[in-house]
Amino acid sequence: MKNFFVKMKNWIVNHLPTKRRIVQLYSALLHNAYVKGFITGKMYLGGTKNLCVPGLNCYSCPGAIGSCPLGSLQNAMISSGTRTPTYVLGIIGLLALMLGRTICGWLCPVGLAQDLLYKIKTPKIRKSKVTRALSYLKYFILVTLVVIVPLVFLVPGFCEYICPAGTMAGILSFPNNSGWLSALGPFFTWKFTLLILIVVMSIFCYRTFCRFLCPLGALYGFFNKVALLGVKLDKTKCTDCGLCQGVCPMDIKKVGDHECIQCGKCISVCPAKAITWKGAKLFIKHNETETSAPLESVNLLGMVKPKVEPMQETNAQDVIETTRTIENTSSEVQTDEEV
Amino acid sequence: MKKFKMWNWWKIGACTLAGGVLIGAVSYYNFVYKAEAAQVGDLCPDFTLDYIFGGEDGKMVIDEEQTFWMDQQRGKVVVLNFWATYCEPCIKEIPHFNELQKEYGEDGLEVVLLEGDVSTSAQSVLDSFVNLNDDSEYAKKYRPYYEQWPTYDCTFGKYTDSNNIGQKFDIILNFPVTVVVDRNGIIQYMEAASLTYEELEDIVLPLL
Repeated sequence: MKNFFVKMKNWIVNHLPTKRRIVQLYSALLHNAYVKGFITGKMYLGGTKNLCVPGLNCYSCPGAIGSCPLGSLQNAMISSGTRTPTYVLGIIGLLALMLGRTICGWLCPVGLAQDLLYKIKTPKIRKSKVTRALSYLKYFILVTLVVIVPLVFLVPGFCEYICPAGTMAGILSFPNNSGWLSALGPFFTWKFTLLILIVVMSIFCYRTFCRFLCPLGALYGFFNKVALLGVKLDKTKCTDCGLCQGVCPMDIKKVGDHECIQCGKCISVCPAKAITWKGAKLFIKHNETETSAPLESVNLLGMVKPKVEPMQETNAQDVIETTRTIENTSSEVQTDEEV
Repeated sequence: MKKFKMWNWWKIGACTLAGGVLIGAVSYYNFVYKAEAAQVGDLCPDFTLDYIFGGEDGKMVIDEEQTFWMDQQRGKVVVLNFWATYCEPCIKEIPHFNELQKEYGEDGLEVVLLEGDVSTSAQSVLDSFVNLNDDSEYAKKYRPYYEQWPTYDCTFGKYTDSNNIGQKFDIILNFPVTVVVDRNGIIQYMEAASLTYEELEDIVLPLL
């Protein structure tokens, strides 16, 4: 009996969610804070619905409290005429500059869904040259369906033809009414098939939608290098061992390039400790796997035997104190492992 | 050591703030926010129809002269029926609404049929659906219904995305949706369901 509880505790300790997972769950809940909508099937239509959320969360989702940036962009393209839709471009630009593709790795609910689907234990399709080539498809989708089709044909191309989040949103507001059911036609068949395909593929291939289809990821990817948050490679320390690229689940060529979703898996793997979070020295704790004793609390004079000064200037008490300081400092540093 | 202690306080502060934001958001959106949309018992929101269709030479056309303001219908019983070109049960029940209008029009009944596909323009609704006269499946199926419309008494209208009347009512627009408003402007009935002529009469007669 006791063994069972011990085993359970061990399982829980080994399967604790990482910081990133917690942030993803938090973000998914915040994107869909109108939980009442899932019960009644009605959308939220109040004030914050005009704001763009960072992740891909369909406007039509019953729980959504904001607008999808892609939907807003396409609708802005449709109704803009000859004026540039500065409001939408501004919000997306601001988010992209601040966060880059950390949005993909930490905030997007669709990203979370795919991460969770991938956890299902099946044989997996590894990344290869094929997947790298396929990853350029999303730029094509961005240019054609998100920019050109709305401008020229006045329909939101991506939302209408591809977006699985939209299909999901429609199903979640599932009405039990003959009129609605009779309205389902070839469009629905296509989008539903696409949704099922993406869901199934995500089980076998990591983040199928994000890597190959998502134009929002494509858009944010352009800002990855200049964004305030993200991973950073210190080229002076890098030994070109390639471990980072090997462990990375996305189709990167270099750490932090336009494919990187800033998940941080490469940080713990780098043997030269060359990869850190940007702004680590300013806000975030220095890379966790390093121990660095803050200089001011160590009395160096007590450690080094002075050449000129007589012995009685340094006493045993000083040495013991400084040794204790160093010991206390190193025990406070925790290691953060990706489970 | 001081640096690390400060760092822990920052972490705790940030987590508390984040938690507070989440709890605040969930409680606001689910408990404080009240949908502005009207329910049964509320006053019917005012709206105007962007497009009104009228019959001309056996076809339906956009009537530029007629207007419809909901607020001006006080004193009349108004029956609003939301339908769509792809909704088979809707199109089949529209004759009932016309009969209702014919029967009780003099007693102060106004029946308004609203086409609710905001992504289709008014002219497309007419050209591609209502006036469709070719050999397609759609035309063969619905032509018998549509060709009667120019003779109908009830008002046909269409709303658009910018004047989304459907949003004003607190109901999911699973066409057909029927809303019945009494002489004082109060909504007495609002359901997403097909109705027979008898059922319609049962709802409307007590209000007349």
